[in-house]
Amino acid sequence: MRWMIIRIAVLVLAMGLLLPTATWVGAAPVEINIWSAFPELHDQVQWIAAKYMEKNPNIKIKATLFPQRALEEKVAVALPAGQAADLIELDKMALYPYYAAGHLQPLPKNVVDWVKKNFPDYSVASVTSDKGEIFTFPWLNSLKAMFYNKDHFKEAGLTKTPETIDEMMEMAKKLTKRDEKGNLTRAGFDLRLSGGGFGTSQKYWTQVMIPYGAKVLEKVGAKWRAGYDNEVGRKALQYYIDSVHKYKVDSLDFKSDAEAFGLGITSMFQREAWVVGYMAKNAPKINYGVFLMPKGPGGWGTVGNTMGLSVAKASKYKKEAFDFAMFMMNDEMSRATFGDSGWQPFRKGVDYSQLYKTRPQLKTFIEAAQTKGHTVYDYENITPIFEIHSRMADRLMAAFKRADLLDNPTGIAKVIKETAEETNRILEDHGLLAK
Amino acid sequence: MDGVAAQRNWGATGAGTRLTQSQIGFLWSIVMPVIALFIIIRVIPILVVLLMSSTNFNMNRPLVRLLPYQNFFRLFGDPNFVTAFVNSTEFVLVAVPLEILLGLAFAIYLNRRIRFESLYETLYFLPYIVPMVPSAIIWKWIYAPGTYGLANYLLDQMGFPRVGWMSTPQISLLAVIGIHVWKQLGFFVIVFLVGLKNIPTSVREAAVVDGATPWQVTRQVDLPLLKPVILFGVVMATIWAWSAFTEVYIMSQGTDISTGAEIQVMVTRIYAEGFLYFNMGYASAISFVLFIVSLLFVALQFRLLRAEQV
Repeated sequence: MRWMIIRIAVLVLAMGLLLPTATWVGAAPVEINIWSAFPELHDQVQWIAAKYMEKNPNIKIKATLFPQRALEEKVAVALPAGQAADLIELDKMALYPYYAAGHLQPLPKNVVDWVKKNFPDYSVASVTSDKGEIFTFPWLNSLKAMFYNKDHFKEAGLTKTPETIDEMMEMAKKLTKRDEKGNLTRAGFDLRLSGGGFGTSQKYWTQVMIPYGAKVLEKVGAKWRAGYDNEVGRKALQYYIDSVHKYKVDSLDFKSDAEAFGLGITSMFQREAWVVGYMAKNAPKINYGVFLMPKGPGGWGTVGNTMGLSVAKASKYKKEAFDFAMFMMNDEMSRATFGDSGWQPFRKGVDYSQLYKTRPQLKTFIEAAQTKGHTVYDYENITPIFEIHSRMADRLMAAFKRADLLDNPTGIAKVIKETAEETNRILEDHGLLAK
Repeated sequence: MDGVAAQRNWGATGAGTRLTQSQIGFLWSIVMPVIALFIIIRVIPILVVLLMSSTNFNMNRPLVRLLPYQNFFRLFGDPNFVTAFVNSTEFVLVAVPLEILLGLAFAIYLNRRIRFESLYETLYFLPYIVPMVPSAIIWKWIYAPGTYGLANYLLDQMGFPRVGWMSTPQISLLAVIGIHVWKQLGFFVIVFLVGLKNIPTSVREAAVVDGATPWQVTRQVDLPLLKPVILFGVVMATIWAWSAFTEVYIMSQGTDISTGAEIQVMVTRIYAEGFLYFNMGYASAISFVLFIVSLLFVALQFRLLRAEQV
């Protein structure tokens, strides 16, 4: 009897100890953290998270916004230490090195199947590593197209949009305006001459390298080398120098980018679909349209770099993180993301017809990827890709300012040669240079 | 032992001025934590940086090779480093004299019991307490291109030609140095003003009685007595000028006014190599060069100004 009492007491004590733990485990909500870099996307993620939490009350989604550079720095420190968020939103070229170093979780089989079924092949290819693993969701497409001010075109007697880069330069000359002192009051063509590091080389790549057929990197076997120290590479730089110093359709001393377009002081400029949202909010009276990047003698296409969404390998809730990521990219959320933030989802088969009624400009971005002969390029999956483009941008920005490069083929050749040597040096440092 | 000596040898019970073992032990126990902290916070990181600067360590590359001197040799052929070094030197050579001379001039002026002295002190000090990020963003607007920036708008209104504040390489760095001086000036005004107020008035009065003019009083009484404070100011201004970062970083971000590589200084170069490209070995080599150069500058200043003091 005594032993029986002792046994019951021990059992009750054990149950008592286990019960609160079990209750705590059962009730503890799973918290998924997601880090974002763009305010409009952060708002969108919060909205999507609220919808997801309604359906999954046991899961809490916490979204945190950082300025882009701050996010890159935070990820650089926290991800290798296993202290990063469960989900990280960054350009896939910034994410790839972390995958290569083993800090990102490749997509599991069921998620891979879902991605292959719902995303265009080229987007899947751009996030697939040499090992055949998909290292990030190809969430959004930063596809570039040309915005133009319809009223400026009408005023200049232009009845169509340019189809070639030469035609674009001729139109830009007609669209450019100056005051009595010769100061630019309207840029015919905003070339993105400065700012934002690799963003400048990205716009340059889209604007002139693709049309002339120059490549930032060319693959030789399994390795790489600079693909622009050649005639077409020099022509590409010549185009920019002529635009600024000969035809003066743009100036370093003039406001630029989306803000200038919204102010009605730029007639044409190259950007992504988010500008449609920006214009609706900040410049609703500007009458504008969008056209595909013009062709050149060497090719036709654009850059559509991938905004990835990755799950950290150290995440405690990988399954839930993948599930939330897939929810973010379902049909309804893709439509909402495109319509509200202007960021273009990579998803295929989503019906945007209702959206086109209020934002017709968005149609060009979706069609761009499906237009025959129009190629969409993305960054190569190699570790130093960000460094290669950023250092190239530094040298290009310095060159754009040099009036002495006008009608100076030797000077242009020197700039291109030195820039390409630097690209090759970086590749060599990483053991990636093709001999 | 006389009474004064006994007082100096507080608690000493042994013969003469010698401390006992327990007293030495007690002193070590007080000093050691501070020395240990100094070694951990200052000495070890410097040694780690020196060690890393002799490798090709990149956070994205698993293999680390020893490069005993190659990173330092590479610096001299790297146009980005050369630009950054020249820009940082220009930063120091322009910003430090401006901060010290203007700081002294304003402090001497404010020391003459002018009306609204406290108001002026507050106004001078205000930029110093405003964080650099919002300050630099305001300056970004001031230097914006065309007539969208305040500076060019005012020039335009006065009939002067516009200036490419951030697009003309020769002007851009000076424009950024202007922000740095504007930000730090208040600190030096206040420090020098406190120094001037601590000079006994009797010394000045004696000089006036001897027939000294206000300029002679400033030159031959105030400035010599203010020398230790000026030395402190020069050293601080030099260290801050070598380590300028935020104003340069903010002014090279965005699409309107940045000039990218042309305004880069040593610290922005370290940031780019280390935290954008993850070349920690190379970034460490730049850090070490910055450490040595700023150390030499400060040592030289101590030597020159202290020598004159003696």
